[in-house]
Amino acid sequence: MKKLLFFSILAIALGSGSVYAQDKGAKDMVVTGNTKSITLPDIATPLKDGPGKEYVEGNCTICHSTDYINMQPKMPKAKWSATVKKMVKTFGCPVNDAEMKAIEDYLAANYGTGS
Amino acid sequence: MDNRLTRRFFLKTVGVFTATAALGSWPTNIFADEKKLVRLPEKTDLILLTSRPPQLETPLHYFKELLTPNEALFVRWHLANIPTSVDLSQWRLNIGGNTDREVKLSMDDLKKLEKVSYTAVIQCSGNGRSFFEPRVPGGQWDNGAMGNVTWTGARLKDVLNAAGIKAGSVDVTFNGLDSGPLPTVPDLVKSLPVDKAMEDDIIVAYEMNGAPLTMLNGFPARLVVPGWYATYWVKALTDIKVLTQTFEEFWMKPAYRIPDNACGCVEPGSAPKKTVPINRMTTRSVIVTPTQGSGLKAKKPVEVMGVAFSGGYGIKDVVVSVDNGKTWNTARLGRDLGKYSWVLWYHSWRPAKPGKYTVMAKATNSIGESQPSDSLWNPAGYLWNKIEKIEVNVI
Ligand code: HEC
Repeated sequence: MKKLLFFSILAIALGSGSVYAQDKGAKDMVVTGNTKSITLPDIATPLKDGPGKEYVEGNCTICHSTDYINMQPKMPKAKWSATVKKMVKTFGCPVNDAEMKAIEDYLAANYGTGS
Repeated sequence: MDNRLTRRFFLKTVGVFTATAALGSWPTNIFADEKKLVRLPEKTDLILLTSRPPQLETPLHYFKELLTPNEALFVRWHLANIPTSVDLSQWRLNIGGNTDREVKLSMDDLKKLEKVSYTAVIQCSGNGRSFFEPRVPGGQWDNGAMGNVTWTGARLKDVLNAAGIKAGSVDVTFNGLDSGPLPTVPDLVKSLPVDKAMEDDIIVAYEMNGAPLTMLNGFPARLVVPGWYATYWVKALTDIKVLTQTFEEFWMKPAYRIPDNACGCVEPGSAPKKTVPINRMTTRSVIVTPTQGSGLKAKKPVEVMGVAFSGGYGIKDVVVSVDNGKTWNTARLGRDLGKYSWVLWYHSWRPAKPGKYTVMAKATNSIGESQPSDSLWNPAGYLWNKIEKIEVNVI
């Protein structure tokens, strides 16, 4: 009950009661004094198994989750290569040429159009 | 249906297929068309695009309402280090550069400036990208990277005047609390031409629908540039800088650009010769009910409804066709909340006999801008506004 009351006060303070009330005890948003904090869940989206997967998992998750890859439409190898090149040259993905090639092969084989 | 409940969030997999898939061409990527729902802090179940940084899409049914609830509004961050904790006693909005003085505004200072409120559509540049053919890489949004929200805050003009813009100013840049996980990743900084930045209707918003911003939608303050795509609506805003030259860092160039021509389009699959920063939203309508593929009964009345909006010019009319575009009927428009808001539109229909029907909707704004019947293509997948088309089965 005490807990419930605490959360409703929080909710009212933030002006949107129903949202937090629904979150049945999931304390993923708290306000302490002037500070508002949230806790983000870990959501893993597995990649398909195949040669080169370890290079993708090791390098392509430094800046973002694997779902950036899963989400894409099937693309021809040239398009995947262009994407990988952008990650390396524009954003600084730290891979050498051999790793880059292994990643391109993996993506084309598992998330490609086969062309 | 796989339904797992983990400690902090719900992850559901539902067999929903995109409109393109259901319209005939079988999905090229089954995985891309399978939607997972997740619940993040201060949010309801939304469609997961990516988790780090979070990109979440609003399920279509929320658009039956004039205002999109805060918990249902889409989420789109670019860089993995997003703010997850903000101390308002430390947070400041810094304004400087080519100004008379450097100013640091606290939230209390910001709230002392004249408070303005209006309803405006927020829409991601890439809303509808998944409908492009040939497909393009990027966030694979259907129609849920949009929402209609009442924003409240201080005029950007008043904020800039507090610092005093000096002669010779060209662009104003906006930066927020998010950053890339490696120093090589360009920080998300956006700019507006100084004349645009001084327009009356641009605000630094600290409330959405009467409540403080949710963390994932840019707490404690974000830019609201009504009529323009959300790429300019910088979240968790901290720094405003006035420049004496054009700003052309990564997220302004080469990112977020459209072909420099009237349609913002090129021959599918080709590259534009010249580009400009994406800016005002195109006019569009979205059919919310009935949904793609739904079954209806002959002679039973059904309300065809949806939303329509344009880049700041209000909606003049919406026409609806239930016979694949042969004949069109003027839809009834709902409450008008101003030129930046969307309107709900309605068309009562009584399907005469069983069969397959193609329902279409087309909006026109007050300056005559409308929607194309063929999709306009550009390599980044922006400006999607092809006339909506859904198929329903009448039995
Ligand atoms: C140094 C940081 C970094 C690394 C490492 C990285 N990326 Fe990215 N990636 C980005 C950024 C930044 C974006 C754009 C994010 C956004 O707009 O949401 C991005 C976007 C993407 C996209 C979406 C399409 C696009 O072009 O924006 C794909 C696909 C992608 N990355 C794949 C990969 C793959 C495959 C790897 C491994 C080779 C990789 N990334 C490694 C930073 C990185």
